[in-house]
Amino acid sequence: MKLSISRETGVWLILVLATAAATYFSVGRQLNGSVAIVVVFLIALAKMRVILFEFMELRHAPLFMRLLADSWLISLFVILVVMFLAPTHTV
Amino acid sequence: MMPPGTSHPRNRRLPAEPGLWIVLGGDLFMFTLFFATIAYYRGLDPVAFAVGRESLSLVLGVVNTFFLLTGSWFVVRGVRYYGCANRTDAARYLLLGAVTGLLFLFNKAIEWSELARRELTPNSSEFYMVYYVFTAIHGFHVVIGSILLLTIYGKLQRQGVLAASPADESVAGVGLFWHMIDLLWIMLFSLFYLSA
Repeated sequence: MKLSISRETGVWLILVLATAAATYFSVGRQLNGSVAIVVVFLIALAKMRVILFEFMELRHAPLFMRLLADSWLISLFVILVVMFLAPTHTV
Repeated sequence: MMPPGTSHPRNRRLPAEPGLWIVLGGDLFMFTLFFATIAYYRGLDPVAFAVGRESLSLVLGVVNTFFLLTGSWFVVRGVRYYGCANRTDAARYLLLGAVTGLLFLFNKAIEWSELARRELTPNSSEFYMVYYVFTAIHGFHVVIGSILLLTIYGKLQRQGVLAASPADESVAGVGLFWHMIDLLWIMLFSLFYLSA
């Protein structure tokens, strides 16, 4: 019997393992608060990128769309990390 | 018959109608503002967010993430089977995708009713306000996505086997909408359950 895992099943497995890893780093408290937040967001954005490029097939899309997606993900990461780690908001 | 998952089109293209991507982009932009809103309120009262996060069930959050990821896997396969005119398997996998959506909503209802029982309502703190509002908006997307998948399932059941037209991109479009719901939940899960 040939053992083979289709691409989308491999992608699903990676996403499930990444969820487990993010939960572990968040709950485990082995990282200090700020590092844990950065790690959690990095994993979340990586998972979102995998969904965009694999399940939503952006990997076959024109360069412009791929750049747009990556720019969005990077902007979201920067915005959230800055807002979460800034000590207080100045109104 | 296995779906042609590894085929690589020679020409670069987007799945489904380009117009749909504009709608999806609009939704993603709107949720970007929602994510920033959540971060803003957390900055105003980090203690309320830490307390709020502790009151949520992490287990339900993780299970719901698992449901949506698995739902995306079902829908990817359903759309692929539809593309190679295998209506029976397409219908089966799209139905399973809808079931994961319904399970997600069932879990959400359990979590909300448990919070309500402890009198934790949108008025309790800034955390609960953004939590209820934005998970409700996301939940509404899950309702719409599940209805769309069930509608396609019904159509495939009525129209019989092997009458599929691969040129019809509406199924691929519903698939994209479903994946976007999954993608948005990943960030909401991170914001409310993992990093608040």
